[in-house]
Parts: sequence; structure tokens; C-alpha cells
Amino acid sequence: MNQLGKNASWPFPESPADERIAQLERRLERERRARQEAERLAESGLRDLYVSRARIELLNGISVRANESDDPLEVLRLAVREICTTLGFPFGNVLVADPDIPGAMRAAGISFARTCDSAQPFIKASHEVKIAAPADGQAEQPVMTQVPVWTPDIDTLVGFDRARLARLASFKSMLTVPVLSGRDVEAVLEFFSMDQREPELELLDVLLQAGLQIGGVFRRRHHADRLRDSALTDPLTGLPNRAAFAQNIERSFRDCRDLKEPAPSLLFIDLDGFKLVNDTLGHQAGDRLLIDMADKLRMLVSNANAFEDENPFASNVKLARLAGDEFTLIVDGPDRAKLAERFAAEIHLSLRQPQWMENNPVRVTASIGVAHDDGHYTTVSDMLRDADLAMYEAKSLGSERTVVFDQKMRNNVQSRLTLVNDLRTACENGDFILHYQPILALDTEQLVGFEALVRWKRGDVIVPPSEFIAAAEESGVITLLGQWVMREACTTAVRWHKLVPDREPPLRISINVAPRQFLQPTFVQQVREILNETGADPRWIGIEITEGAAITKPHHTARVLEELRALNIQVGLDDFGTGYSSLSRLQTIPIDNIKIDQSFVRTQTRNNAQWSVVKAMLDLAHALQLRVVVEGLETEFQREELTAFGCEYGQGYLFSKPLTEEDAAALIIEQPEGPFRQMEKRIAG
Amino acid sequence: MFNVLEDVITDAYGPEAWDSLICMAGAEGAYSSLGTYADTEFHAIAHATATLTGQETTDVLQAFGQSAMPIILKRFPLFAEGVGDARTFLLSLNSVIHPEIRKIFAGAACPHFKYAIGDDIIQITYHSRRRFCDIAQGLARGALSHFGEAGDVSHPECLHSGDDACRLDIRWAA
Repeated sequence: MNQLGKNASWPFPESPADERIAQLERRLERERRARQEAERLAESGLRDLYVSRARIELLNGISVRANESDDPLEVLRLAVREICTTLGFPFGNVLVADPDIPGAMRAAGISFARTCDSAQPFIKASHEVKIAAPADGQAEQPVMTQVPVWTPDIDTLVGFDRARLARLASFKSMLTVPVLSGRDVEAVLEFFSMDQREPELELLDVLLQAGLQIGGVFRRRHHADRLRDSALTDPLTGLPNRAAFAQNIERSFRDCRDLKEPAPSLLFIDLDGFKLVNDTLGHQAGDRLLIDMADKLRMLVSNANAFEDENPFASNVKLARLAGDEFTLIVDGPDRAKLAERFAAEIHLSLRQPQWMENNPVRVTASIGVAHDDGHYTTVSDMLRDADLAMYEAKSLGSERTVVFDQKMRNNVQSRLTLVNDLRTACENGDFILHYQPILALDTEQLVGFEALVRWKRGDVIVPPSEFIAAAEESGVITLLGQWVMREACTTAVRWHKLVPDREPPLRISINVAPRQFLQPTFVQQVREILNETGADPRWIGIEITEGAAITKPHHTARVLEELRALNIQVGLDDFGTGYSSLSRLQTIPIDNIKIDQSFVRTQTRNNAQWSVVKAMLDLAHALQLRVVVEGLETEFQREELTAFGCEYGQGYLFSKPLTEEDAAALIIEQPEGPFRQMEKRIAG
Repeated sequence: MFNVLEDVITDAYGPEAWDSLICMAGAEGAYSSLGTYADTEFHAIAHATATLTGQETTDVLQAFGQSAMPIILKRFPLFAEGVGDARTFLLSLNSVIHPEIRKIFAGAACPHFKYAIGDDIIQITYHSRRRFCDIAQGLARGALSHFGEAGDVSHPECLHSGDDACRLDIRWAA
């Protein structure tokens, strides 16, 4: 048998020429068909490649933008354009979920069109379309579904209001693509076409994915909105918080200044009895009270519409909780001042009824400060300060009061500011002097020391401490002043010691230290430095703190007092009996003496004396081995009685008013020769 | 386009006629459906056909368009899938058919048609820079025939006769 190969001979005879031509023509025809078949395969492959690449690019483009953007509408705008151009839809439109009606959709005002004029009415209708939430049992519109839906014939849709206009535009089919965030349909893209060819499943899947990607932008936006809301909301009452209030008032103030209009009026509301509720009924009750208060204020604001006939802008009122029991109202509108004061009155009224808390009737009242803008304010913080000051003024007048900030208060503020500034300068210049009031042993009337009392040389006037210490404490100037006093007192102690170097025990100068100074972490260090600088012996000075300072930070106080005593400095508790410390707390404070406040002594007369409280204090102090000083001694009767009760030391006008350093020095020199009062008379004489 | 022309000529006059026309036109002759060839070759072949058959080139191009339609629709059934009438088919040129053409023939230069639509007429306006408006006229006729509809396609305005654009009026018989 012949093999097929290079040298194999053709076994068939040569055919005639006609036959050969026919054979070649058949071969040509076969070749042509083969070529057409190959072309068809290539065309089909190219088409598939094109389609899948276009889909990938489409999905990729939408995904990239969706991942970058935090604006869902911007991404929808891009998506509707890209889908239309890539897939050849002449018109695409976007619907978004209606925020006011669950389940309903409305046009987002975003579309893409490349159509003829006859489609304009349909496009216009699509821009205004609203689709109601499906009623029970009613068939869902394609826009409500969770997957892309292709409708080959719009005419078959039930309830599609735009069908007639769609026919006019020659649109036959519709494709809807949901934008999902979880199970929620956030938006729907609807595409219209004349093309009634059914889209491939892969395409619907790509569009579903695109919808999910855009849904992610909605989800992020909701998340950001929630974060922003929670950052601006008070979690307890649900009211706007301090940050929200600050934003609101600053924006209002700025807008009003731009328009050259008065800023809104401000109400600062502070509850009067709130601390008591917290302390006696507990924090839970306190929280409930605040929630109730917030509800009452909310109700008042919403009821403001009831008197809206008087003020059409009554609803332009913003409520906030600043902190603790502080609330604010921002009241805007043409009659803001009148309305603000009306709100204040309504608030007092609404608090008249007691609330029941754990079977206890609880009645809280409010103190309200109001500030109106008279065009005088240049910054919003000044206005806030004034509303706050007015509130404190209201509080100082008693409960249930409203105070409107006025010119007089402004003047007070101004003079307080001037006072603080002058005080600061005085500290820098050392425009102070110390006066010294003698302290005596009551039984022997021997001089044992002095209390240093500061005076301010303001020009030619000597200003008593009652007129500037409070301002100094409030403004913080007190720490500078306190250091000056201590340095000056130590310097004096050194000078006096030179006058009577052998005196034993040495004279002691008591120095009052304000809470703010005492609570400084470097206080002991300051004392040590001043002692070193001046060369004063620690036994020559005593430090007196008030009860207030002692209980503010009990642990810190105990430690500082121990350190001072370790330096050999005597420490005492000033104004005892006026403050907060219970007698039992005395034993936890490491002190050497207490000074009974003058209010317990001044009122005692020979005909009408009530010594029981003073005696109790003396008994307790002695039981704790503390020495007692009384101040404000004015009569011989008081001295006799207190001496009889065993009180060790006293000071007051009975013995001497506060003296200048020179007069005090003269006393010291004279003192060894006899009882104190004769000496003083000799000096005075 | 060249392949469709080859089919039309071969169907009408036999394979030798196609060979003769290519020789006469001085054209390359080896056309693949996926290749791109100069429009001048197409017009040369059309001109040769007109010369050989004693017709006007315009008529040849129109006849070609009309005969091409069934061949095109047989070869690319997607173009008319789901379409039941000539009006829908003609209106889908921009949105369906040209996009489909671009899917297969990357970079294909398809014109964009503007439509004016009446009850029994569609006016299609476009710029036929490649001078294929006669073929378009024939294609439109072919579309009417394909869907078995009676009507007439006229070409009252032409870019190449000094008008602003080419306009085809497709009017259905009442």
C-alpha cells in the first residue's frame, strides 16, 4: 500500500480541463466559506472582549469614584452618565429615597440624556417624578426591588405614570438598578431605551455591583452624619450640646453682624436645687431631673408657636444643654428681647409643680440670666460672659429669679476688670503694705505675735482687703500677691528678731494664705525659697489657711501641712466655724491651732451671752491638743469669759487695731516691761 | 463593507464578476471583515461596477445598500433582535446598531444621526463625510423590505450637493 509522504505518487488519473476548473471553483468556494466562518468567530470573540472590557471599565470607574467620594449624589451623577454612554441608553434618571416618607422615592434631579426633542416631556416628567411607597397588597414598582429589573415593554407596567410620555419618546424598555445600603434602597437608577433585547445576566450582575458600590457611599455618609450628630448631641437629654450651642451662636452672631442686625438674645438657665437632689437622692435621680427639665424646655419651645401671633418667628428658638444643670436658649426674631424674657417667665412657671422622685416631692427652681444685643458687642464671647454674669446675679438674689444684663452690671464688670488690671500692676510694683495686729496670751496679756494684714496703696488711698481680695482671688492675682505678702512678712520678722534677739519663745507673724496659693503644687517650695532669701527662722512665722482650702483637696492639704510643720512652721485653720468642715474632720487635718471666727465672739455681751458653740469648739480643740485663738475681741467681758473657758490667745480692738510696722516695732521693744494694754497706751500717748 | 459588497456582487453576477471589478478598479482585493481599507478603493469598485453595468454610481450605491441589508442582518442578527418594524430599527441606529458595530470593529467611524419623527415619516439628518449617503438611502429601503413595509426613501438634501447636511426622508405608504 502506498504511503502518504514526500515521494508518494498520486494514484488517480489526471482529470480533463473542465473537470479541473470545476474542482478549483469548489475549492475556492470552500476557502471562501472557511474565511467567512473564521471572520465570524473572530468578530464574535472581539465583541465579547469589547463587551467584557467595557463592563469592567464601567464598574471600575464607578467603584473608584465611590471609594473616593463622600458625596453620594456626585457618584450617582457619574454613574448615570457612564452607564448611559457605555451601554447606549439614550436616557438615564436617578431617584432617591424620600427622607420624609419611608419606602417612597423621588427624583434626585440627576439624569443623563442623549435623545431627540420628542423625549423632552418624558425627561421633564422624570425630573419631577415621585413614587409613593407601595400600599399593602399592591405590586411593587421595579424601583422598589433589591435587584436590577429589566422591563422589555413599558406598556405592560402597572402604575407607571410616565407611560404615555415614554411612548412619545419612543422608549420601549426600562432597566432599573437599585443602590443598596444593607437592605435599604437608597436610590434607583432608571434607564430607558428603544432596545427591547434582553440584557445578559452578566450585565445585570455588573449593574447590581455598581449599585452596591454606590450604596457604600450612602452608608459612609450616614455614618458620618451619625458621628456628627452624636458629637453635637448631649447623650443624657438628647438636646444639642455645648459644641452645637457654640456653633449655633457663633454662626448667628456672625450672620447678624454681616447683616448689621442685632444678634439673638441669650438665656442662661441654671437650676437652683440641683446639687441637693444629686447629693440626697443620688445621681440617677439627678439625671432624671435633668431629662425632665430638658423635656419641659422642649415643650416650651414647641409651645412657643402658641404665642406666635405676637411673634411670627417664635419658632426661631434654639435650645441646648451646656453642662451639668446649665441650659441655654438662643432666641431670634424681630421681638427677640420681649420673647426671651417671656421664655424666662414661662420657665419659672413650668418649674412651680414639684416632681415626684422615689416618692419624694422635689421642687427645683431656676436662676436665669439674659443678655440682649444692643449692638454694643463685638464678640460673641462677651455676650456669653454677660448672660453668665446675669445668671450669677440672679442666683445671688435668691432662687427663681431672672436678671437681664444691663448697663449697671456692665459698669461693674468694667470696674472689676480695671481693678484686676490695677492689682496686677500693683503686684509688679509692690504697691502694698502690711499692717500687723497683735495677738496676746489671754491669761497674761503678754504679746505672742501678730497677724499680718495686707493693704493696697492705690495712689494716696489705702484700700482695705475687703475691697480687693475677692477680685484678686477670682483673677488669680492672689498667687502673686500671696508671695509678696509672705516675703514681706518674713523680712519684717527678721527685722523684729534683731530688735529682741533673745526673746523666747520668739514672736510669730501669722500669714494668711489664700486657697489658690496654697493649692499650688509648688507652694512648699515657694515658702522654703522665701525663708532662704530673707533669712527668716521658720519658728518666726505661722501659716493660716481657710477651711475651704483644707477640704478642697484633703490629701494634698494634709501632705502640704505636714511638710510645713516638718520645716518647723506652725499652721493654723483660719475663720474656724464659718466654713464647711465638720468638727470631726478637724482630727484629720494636721494643724497646730484653730482661730475661731470673730462672728462667734462679737455678739457676746454681758447681758446676752450664748457661749455653748464656742465652748464646744474649745473642748474639741483641747481634746485634739490644738491651741485656740479668738479674733474680734472687743470687750473686757469677752476676754474674761474666754480666759475662764481656757482659750489661750486672742486678738481684737480690745487690745489693739492693726498697726504699721513701725508702731508694731515700738510695741515689741516696750513689751518686756509690763502687760500689753499699758504699753499700748504709752505708745499711743 | 468590502465583504458585504463582495457578497452582493457575487450573488448578482458570480465570482468572476468580483474578480473583474477588482482588476478594473485597480484595488488590492484581499479583504478581511476585520481589516480597515481605504474608502477610495470602495468608491473605485462602485465606479467600475457602474461603468460595466451602464448605470450611475449613485444608483449602484443605492442598489448596493438595499441588497446589503438582508446580508448584514443575516450576518449580525443582534442588530435587529427583538425589533419588529422598520421604524424601531431605524430609530435604534445610534443607540443599538452603531454601538454594536463599535463592539466588533474597534475604531469604526459611525456617524451620529439626528431624527425628526412624524406619524408616517422619519427624517434622518447627518453628515456623510465618507460619501456613503447613497448607501444609507439604499439601506433604509432594504430595512423597509426586510420588515415587509411599503414606503419610499428619498434623499432631498445632500452635503455633497452643497447642502448643510445629508437628509433622508423615510415615508411610509398610507
